[in-house]
Amino acid sequence: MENKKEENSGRKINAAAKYSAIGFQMIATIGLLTLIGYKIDQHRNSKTNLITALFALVGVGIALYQAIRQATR
Amino acid sequence: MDCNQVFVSKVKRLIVVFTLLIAFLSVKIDAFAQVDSAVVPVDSAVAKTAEAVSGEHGTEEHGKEKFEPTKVIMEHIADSHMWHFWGHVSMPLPVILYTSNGLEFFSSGHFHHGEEDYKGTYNTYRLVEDHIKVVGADGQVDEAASKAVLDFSITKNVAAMFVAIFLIVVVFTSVAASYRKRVGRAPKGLQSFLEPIIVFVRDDIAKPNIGHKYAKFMPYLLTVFFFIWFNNLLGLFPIFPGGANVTGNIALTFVMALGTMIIVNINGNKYYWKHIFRPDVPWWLYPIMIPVELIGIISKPFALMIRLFANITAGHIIVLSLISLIFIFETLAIAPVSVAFVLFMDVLELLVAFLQAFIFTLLTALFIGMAVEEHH
Repeated sequence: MENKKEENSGRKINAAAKYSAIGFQMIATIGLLTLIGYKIDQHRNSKTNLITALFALVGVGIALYQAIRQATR
Repeated sequence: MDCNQVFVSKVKRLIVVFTLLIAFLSVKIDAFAQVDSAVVPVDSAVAKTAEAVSGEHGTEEHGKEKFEPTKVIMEHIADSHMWHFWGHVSMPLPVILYTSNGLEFFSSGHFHHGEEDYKGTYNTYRLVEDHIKVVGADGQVDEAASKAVLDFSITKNVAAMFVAIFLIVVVFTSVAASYRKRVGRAPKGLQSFLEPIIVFVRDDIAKPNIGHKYAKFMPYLLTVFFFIWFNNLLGLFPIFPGGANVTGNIALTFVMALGTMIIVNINGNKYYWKHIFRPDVPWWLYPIMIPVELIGIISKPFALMIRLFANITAGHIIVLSLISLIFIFETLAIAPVSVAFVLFMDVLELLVAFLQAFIFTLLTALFIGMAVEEHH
């Protein structure tokens, strides 16, 4: 009984730690893709930063996918 | 051992205790403030007469420097070529420069806090906002030449890291020696303080997350845990052996996260790699899924890097901001409030110091566990 309770609280802490990482992971994913897009736009000397916007949007999609998959696993 | 309870119940108790403490202190502060407000009219009267005497000359004539909190705080957060103790006392640190002609060694004391240039063997150097720049023949900073010079100096953060490493080595060799001396007997002294923490890392972090292969990763996990913890605690010291913002330096957290990334990927088994390169999705999704999984490899350690950096830096900024309040309001009446809140933040930082070391180790164990997992 005591042992089980201990195990339970341990799992809760682990889950909390795992979910608290998701936010930073989303930032990393979106940031990385935006950076790639930004570099491409810089390289192309484009007037409107279309590729930056596009990559950022894709980044949001990927970040959401990663978050959902981690939460459901 | 049940360290998890620390997070569940004692935090609440701590919060209650400190809310009460601050409530009590704020009562006292009112008394101080009243005394001060009684003084203020006199003060302003004096100021008025002084102004009247000095005539048109405004407040600029006082020769008083304007207090810039952002500058002061950033100076404390950032790395430096000097280790500042108090007032005008500081320790010069060795400067090591790699130039195209060869290495240069000299003490940062030659810069006299950036007031003087130092003529080295190959170039003349100047300290500009704690960055070493090359001075050209015309007496101006030569940006192109400065970029070619690589700075490998023992800065404040590096020196603080050496202090932490020295402490860790001393502590753990003494603990190891007492294990050899007292075989089969109960732990004593420092040993009995550290044994529960080591067992905690093993039983609550490594075993549940990695599984039966945990023993191989224990050295790395323990090193990371104690290195972060010691550096966090030293960072809370206001003066000499601490005072540096080591774990709040993104370069250091980057290297630690890189270590985690390398260990996870080296130990990844075929299930881990299959999950990345042949995930369980229809084949036409591969062009999307493989990049997503590859980004996942980077984004996990990246999260570790940002978290440690942000938490420790934020803690230091909060403490320094609260202290800065005294100088912003230019009154001693605010000091009790500042000190009370700083005290509260410092105790909270003690918890955060442990918590961040714990979380970094836990997530490292979790990522290793995901990589060495046999099947889903």
